[in-house]
Amino acid sequence: MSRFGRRELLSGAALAGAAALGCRRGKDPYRIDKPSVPGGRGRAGEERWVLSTCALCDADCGIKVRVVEGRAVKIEGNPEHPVNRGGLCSRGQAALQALYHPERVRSPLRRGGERGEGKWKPISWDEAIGEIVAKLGKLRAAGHPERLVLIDGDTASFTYDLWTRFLSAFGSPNHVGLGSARAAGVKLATLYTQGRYGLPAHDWIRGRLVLAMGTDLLESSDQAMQFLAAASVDRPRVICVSPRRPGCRFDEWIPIAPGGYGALALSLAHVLVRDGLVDRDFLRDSVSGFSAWRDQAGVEQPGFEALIRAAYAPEQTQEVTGIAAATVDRLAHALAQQRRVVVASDGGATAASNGLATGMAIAALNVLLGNSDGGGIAGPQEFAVPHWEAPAVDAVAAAGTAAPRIDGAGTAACPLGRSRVQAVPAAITRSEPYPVEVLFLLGADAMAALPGRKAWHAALNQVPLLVRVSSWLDESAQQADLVLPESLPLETLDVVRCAPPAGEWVVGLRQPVVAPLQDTRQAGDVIIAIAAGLGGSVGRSLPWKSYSDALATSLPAGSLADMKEKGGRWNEPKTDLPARLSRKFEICSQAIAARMAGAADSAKASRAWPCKGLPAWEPPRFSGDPLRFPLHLVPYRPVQFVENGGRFLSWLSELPLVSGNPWLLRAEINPADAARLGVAEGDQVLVQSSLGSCPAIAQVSDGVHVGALAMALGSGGVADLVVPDEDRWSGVLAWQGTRVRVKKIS
Amino acid sequence: MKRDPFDDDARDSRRKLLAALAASAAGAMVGCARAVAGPSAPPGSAPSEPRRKWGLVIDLDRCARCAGCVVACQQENNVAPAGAKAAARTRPIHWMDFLPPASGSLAATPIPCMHCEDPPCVKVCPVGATYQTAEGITAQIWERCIGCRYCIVACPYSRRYFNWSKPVWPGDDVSSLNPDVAPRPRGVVEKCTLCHHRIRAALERARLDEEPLTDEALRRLPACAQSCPAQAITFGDLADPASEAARLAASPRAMRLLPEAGTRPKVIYLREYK
Amino acid sequence: MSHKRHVEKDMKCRACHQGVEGEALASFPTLADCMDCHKTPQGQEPTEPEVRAFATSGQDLAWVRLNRLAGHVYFSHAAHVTLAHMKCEDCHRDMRTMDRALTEPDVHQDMDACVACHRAKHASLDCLACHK
Repeated sequence: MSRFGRRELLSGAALAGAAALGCRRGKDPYRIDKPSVPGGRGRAGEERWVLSTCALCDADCGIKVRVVEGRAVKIEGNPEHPVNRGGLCSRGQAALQALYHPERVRSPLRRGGERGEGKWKPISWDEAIGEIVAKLGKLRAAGHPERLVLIDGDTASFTYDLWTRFLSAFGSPNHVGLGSARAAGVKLATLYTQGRYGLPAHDWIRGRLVLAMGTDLLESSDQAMQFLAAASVDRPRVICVSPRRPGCRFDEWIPIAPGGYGALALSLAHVLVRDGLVDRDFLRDSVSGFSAWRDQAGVEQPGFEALIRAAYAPEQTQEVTGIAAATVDRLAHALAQQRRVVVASDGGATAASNGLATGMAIAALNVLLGNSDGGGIAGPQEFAVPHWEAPAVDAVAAAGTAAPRIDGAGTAACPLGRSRVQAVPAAITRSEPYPVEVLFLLGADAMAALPGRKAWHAALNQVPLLVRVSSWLDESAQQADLVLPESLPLETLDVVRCAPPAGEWVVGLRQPVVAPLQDTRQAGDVIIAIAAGLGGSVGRSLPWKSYSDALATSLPAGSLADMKEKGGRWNEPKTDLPARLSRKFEICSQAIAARMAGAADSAKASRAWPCKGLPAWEPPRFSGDPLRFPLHLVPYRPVQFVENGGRFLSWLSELPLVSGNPWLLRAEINPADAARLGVAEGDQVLVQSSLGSCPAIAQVSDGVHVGALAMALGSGGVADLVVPDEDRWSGVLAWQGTRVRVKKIS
Repeated sequence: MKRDPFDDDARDSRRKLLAALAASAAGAMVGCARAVAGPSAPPGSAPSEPRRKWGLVIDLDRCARCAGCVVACQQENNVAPAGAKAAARTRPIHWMDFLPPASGSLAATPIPCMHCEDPPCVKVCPVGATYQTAEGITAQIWERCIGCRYCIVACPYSRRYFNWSKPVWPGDDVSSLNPDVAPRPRGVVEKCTLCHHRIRAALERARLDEEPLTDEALRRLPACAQSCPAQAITFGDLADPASEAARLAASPRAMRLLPEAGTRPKVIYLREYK
Repeated sequence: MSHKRHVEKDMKCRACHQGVEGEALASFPTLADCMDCHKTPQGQEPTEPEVRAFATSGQDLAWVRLNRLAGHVYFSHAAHVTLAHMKCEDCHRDMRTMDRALTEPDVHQDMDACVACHRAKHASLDCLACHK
């Protein structure tokens, strides 16, 4: 055998024609030529794995990323991480498409020309921060620091805590979260019954039956991965209750009319109490407010039991729920018989005008059944907080933070809410309670992702300095004066509070997989730079040189180094013991009672919330004349839904979970409605509400409740249809509260 | 003319035919007709070891239809997204695909290449680009494929995809391609390979470390199995009765798709519990 | 960089090309690897001090890869060197004759050559053993 072949096939630069296609000359079609890596690619063939934390939802799964020659080539789940145990959903894996995406904003941009013209001038970070510092400095000098508003999407990471710190040192009360548009109904229910704002810590691991309320819970919600990781060991029975049949695996689907979840939960409670199926021992030991009790003034208060017995029989609620009384009876008995039940809901189930009451009613079912053997609710779980000393607050800041919040959360307009982002556009446009001078918009693209596009457009255009912090030139960014490109999560160092399956604490570390590819910075570093520019007590409150310094002091010494090894730090959930409640579950919420007593118009308030903290329910409101708009819109978050930047991840838009072209938006209706309206499968239709319209392709499906029209959020203009009504006690946005009609257009 | 790539006689006559075709075309048809002759010991095994039979078990009761496996496969194997326009012409490529829910049935079904024991696609390939390895993988050699698409017609599961156009990696997205898998150009048929590059690497690593390759290491070896949050996909040697895959394949819930087609697929589904 | 000088000192190929025993890619030495020896003067070559001068620049050596596999080919040095006990000079040229840096590829195997050797040595002839 000769070592040297007749033809030199392996030549230096180009490979000619070894391909069976024959006539190929020149470039090897199978060769991958990658652009150079900023900072060099390292040793040839070098491969390393970096542990980090996914950022595409609030489950915050552990990931490990394969980096070959300085480039990230694969995202996989971290097998040791207690949230996901090595698995990873479609979104977390598709996140890699964002890293090298050509549409990423490459440097800070300053608007040239008019707003929305699309003329941008790349500027340096120093210039951008200088402009912000100048404007913010003027606000403080004028004694109006409250006129800075920050709309923020992320609550899980320590960057959120840094923003909070900055705002209190600066003097603005306006840290407005997106929770009211997400899962605030569920999180506030946890706050008022268990004392901590957040998702309930369900015992997914030991639960043997899951009653999943809502269209998204087991597909795209922040709890889906915890359920799946627990189910991978021993799958529980799954009963889904929603107006739209979910795409996930389930054992039974019970269609419910939109807005009916709260009534169903209370009817189930009624049957459990009526038929003596509640866990009395657990209620006595771990729950307050179930039986009648005396308040501090010595007045006898009715308990939850009395409320439930008196009303909410399945026969009384079947019109609201659309579920036959016999089904409710059967379901209640099935829950009681299994006993180890998790009753959980996604944000959508509580996204109605009765959202908080719905959330509390659903949570209450868990404790009625008890969790002595497993299932139910644990916690509330501990959360890691940064160990920074209290910030320095001067007189200007103290006055500023005492001003009323721009979104009215906590005031008479919204006594039980913490955040109410849908109120911001009107507040800005009317300059009530004061004009907004600077708006930092982080997180979701408000104009496209939240209802009321026109109102947002008008409001954003009215703010003298609008800063969009985002990696993408999305619709809100188009209106901005400054666009600050944040480093992507794969380029970022941060500490993250994860949501684990049985209430134990989990802290995740996010670390850079590659050095930032563009001229971007982490939000934490930007905040510190702004604070340094402002100086004074603001500068003193953020005394670090960089965010990584801030993180180093945020946890006990050596923690960060430890976390780099594992990708985080956690308390392993114990699988043999039932998860425990660490304080009594208030089925009659003392916190609500206190707040309502202190509310400005308490007489009116107590009339509408008659039971002083019990989950008193009222029928949901729907916007739009029922004659003109005969269907109820059910917006849902499909499995590939990503809150911000999802449409740049083309693998997600192409997921083959539907028949036909996955890129097209569908309007899903029941066959009976379709026949009545003369709409057939595949027709191009226009869906209209009293506020807007949205084109779609009709899909006729028996998986949609009669009278409902289901549409996927995340692409297209579904948010344009939604009338931003809300729960007037908690500010929860009523995504499920809009009526629509559908018209064939071809 | 037999189409067995391991058949020397057929190789010679085929080579003459193709050489005649190539003579009138520009360029060298270098190596394309050089068939490998004879299956000798599969890579990584000593001649005396029993032959492996790679297969996949998908538990439909556990599968949550989250489509994590779809994205895992696309990332691992450098499958480009098609884009909205191409998607309208049913051209997106999903080696791991989902059959839409059948009427009456509740949920969609994940479906990769079946790696049949009697694959129809191998029988119709005129150039020996697709063949069956000794360990049971229905393999595709990209650079042999001439794009005639007979195999697509032959496959009763429609698990093969043609590259109608050059795959496009926008901007610098090519940076995140997996160096272990060759991207395919226009004109080539592609399909699930059971992540054979990972199998090859695992076998080589086992031999270098002088450790036996355990079933534990194999169970989540392909990208789809590894990513599944519900651990619904299990890979393994169906010929090894001690393997998890073989054990699951013997379950009373086990079934195969289109058993009447006679293909004897090696992807086994476990029916949902009722 | 003269291979001849290094081979004359009885250095083994794998001293610098460290990946050859355990990895697919044979790998190139980093500046740190070179400096293991060259931190002190080695030999009489007038250009030898340039290594130490380069080390102060803060960059790493920018090796140019000459032997390139076709994009669809998987070749593992570990499999051939460690498992098949092949010698470097079975495929690469004799470095005792190279007193200047390589400027051309030195491996000229085509698929015929690989297959012939595989056949002779009873190594795998499965396409998937070498194709990506």
